[in-house]
Amino acid sequence: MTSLCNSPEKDVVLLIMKSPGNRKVITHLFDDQQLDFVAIDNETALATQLQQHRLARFALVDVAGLGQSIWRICERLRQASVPFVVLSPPQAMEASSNTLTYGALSLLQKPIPQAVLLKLIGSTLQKPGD
Amino acid sequence: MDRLSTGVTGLDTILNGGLISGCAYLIRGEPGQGKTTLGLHFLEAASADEPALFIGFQESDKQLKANAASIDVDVSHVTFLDLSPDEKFFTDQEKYDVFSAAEVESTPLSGSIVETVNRVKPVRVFVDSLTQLRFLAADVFQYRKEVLSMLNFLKSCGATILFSSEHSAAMPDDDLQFLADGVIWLSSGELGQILTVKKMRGSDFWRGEHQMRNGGAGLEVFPRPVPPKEEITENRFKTIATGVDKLDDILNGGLESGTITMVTGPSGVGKSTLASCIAAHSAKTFGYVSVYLFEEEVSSFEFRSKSLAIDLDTPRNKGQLNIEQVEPLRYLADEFAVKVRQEVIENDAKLVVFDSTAGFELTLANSSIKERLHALAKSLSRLNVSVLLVNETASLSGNDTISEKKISYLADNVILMNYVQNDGLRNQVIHVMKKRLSDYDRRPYLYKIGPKSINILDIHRPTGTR
Repeated sequence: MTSLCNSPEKDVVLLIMKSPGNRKVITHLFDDQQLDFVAIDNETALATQLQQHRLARFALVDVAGLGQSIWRICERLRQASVPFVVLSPPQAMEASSNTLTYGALSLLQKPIPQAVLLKLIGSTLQKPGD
Repeated sequence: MDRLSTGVTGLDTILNGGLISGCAYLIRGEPGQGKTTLGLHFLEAASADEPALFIGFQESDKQLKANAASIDVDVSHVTFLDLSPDEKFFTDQEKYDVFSAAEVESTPLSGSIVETVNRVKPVRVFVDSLTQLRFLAADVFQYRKEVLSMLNFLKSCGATILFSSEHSAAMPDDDLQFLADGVIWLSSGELGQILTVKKMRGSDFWRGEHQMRNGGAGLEVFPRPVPPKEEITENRFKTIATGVDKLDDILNGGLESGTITMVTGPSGVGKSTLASCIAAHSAKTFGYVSVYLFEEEVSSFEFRSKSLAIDLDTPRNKGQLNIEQVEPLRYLADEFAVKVRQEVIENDAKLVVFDSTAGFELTLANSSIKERLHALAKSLSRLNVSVLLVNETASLSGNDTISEKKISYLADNVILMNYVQNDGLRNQVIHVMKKRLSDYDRRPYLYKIGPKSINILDIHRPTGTR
């Protein structure tokens, strides 16, 4: 787990993904953009983070490698009222589309343009009245 | 026009002195043809005031240095920019699919190149290979734009660039040829490994396919001999006696210097014996002679000559005659041509004997004998060196075939030696079939080999015999 968030009161993005490679490249991008985030790779860690970071405002979930736990992760995020977007490899798009019924804001097919992701995060984190 | 050596002598010859400074050259070829090796030679050739940079996308600098050492190429002065993935990419499972490789890799890659070039200020750059950049580009247009931009950046820094590309049917790289100032193509074919220069802006070059070897000594290129322009010297076409008196009579005095003579006939008829007569006499009276044996052992050649009182020892001992056996597959055809030409120039040779054309073909890796012999023999001829080609025909008697290989056209003189049947007896006849520079006796003559040399009898071949 990688955490660049020092303050539990600050808005953070939750990165929920198994792939070390994907975590590495997103970390690089978020560092460049000075985005605070917490990276986790399983359901238990998510539960812990949700307790600690009550102000988690957005989650990015990569279905790859999460198996059946993806449905419970979606459920937890919905219960915690954390908006989330799901990333899926092209070959799993059909199965992944079920995450929309579990509360996902959107389903994106990988690879995604970095600019699109940043815009999506930016608009989601924007507080009402900002 | 400033030129930079490629580090490969033969290639410099083909390029008329080397690469033009400040230009970018594409080395294309399938894997294993020697592209990286050529790049290493190019960087090794850098002088002390020419910083050299290797930009590698495939092999680690450690591996490249080890490869260079194995072929005795010194790259101690070369800066390596290693852009190949390290082992962590595999061990730490760093593969990713969330973003495209183009977005993730391009920016840091360009940054590394710019930073290194600005720091090293290289005069010579080798990029190995641009095929890797193709995988990072979103489309062909962007790939070409990125390559062109990178080459222009390197040129603007004063560098001369070699860059490689892996050409294959599955992944053609034709687009890169348009971006390069020159194209050097390494390939394999019937002639073995081949180097071809396809393009060289601002300069002429040696066209055609040149044989090369990518082995323990690195890359060796053997420029296919191109006959030099003919220079009419004082002794050009001077008549030289063959050493066989009657044959000189038939030839109207002998063979002219700088001409190509084919001695042709079936097996065992005495062609090599006649060649040894002419070689011995020329070496004694005219100048240095080189004999290249492609079939017969030197010892056998010498023994037969000695038994027929043909004196090879005297000119050999005086350093006027060299007899060399060419081992099968020892040389590539173009390599052999370079060697012969070098020896001819070093020794100021007057006569070169190739015994035989069939052996030439078999020994030199089945190369196209017609083209190779033509180029080599013509090159020597224009240096005013006489050439004697011993050519074997298949027919044992009764058929005056000059050459099944259809190479008689390149001979100025053709001497046919053949068997004839007469009243149940088998005789031998010698018949000058062609002589370009003078009249000659067009009649066939009987001859015998031994007891000393070749004895041409003053008897014409009887009419009506076969």
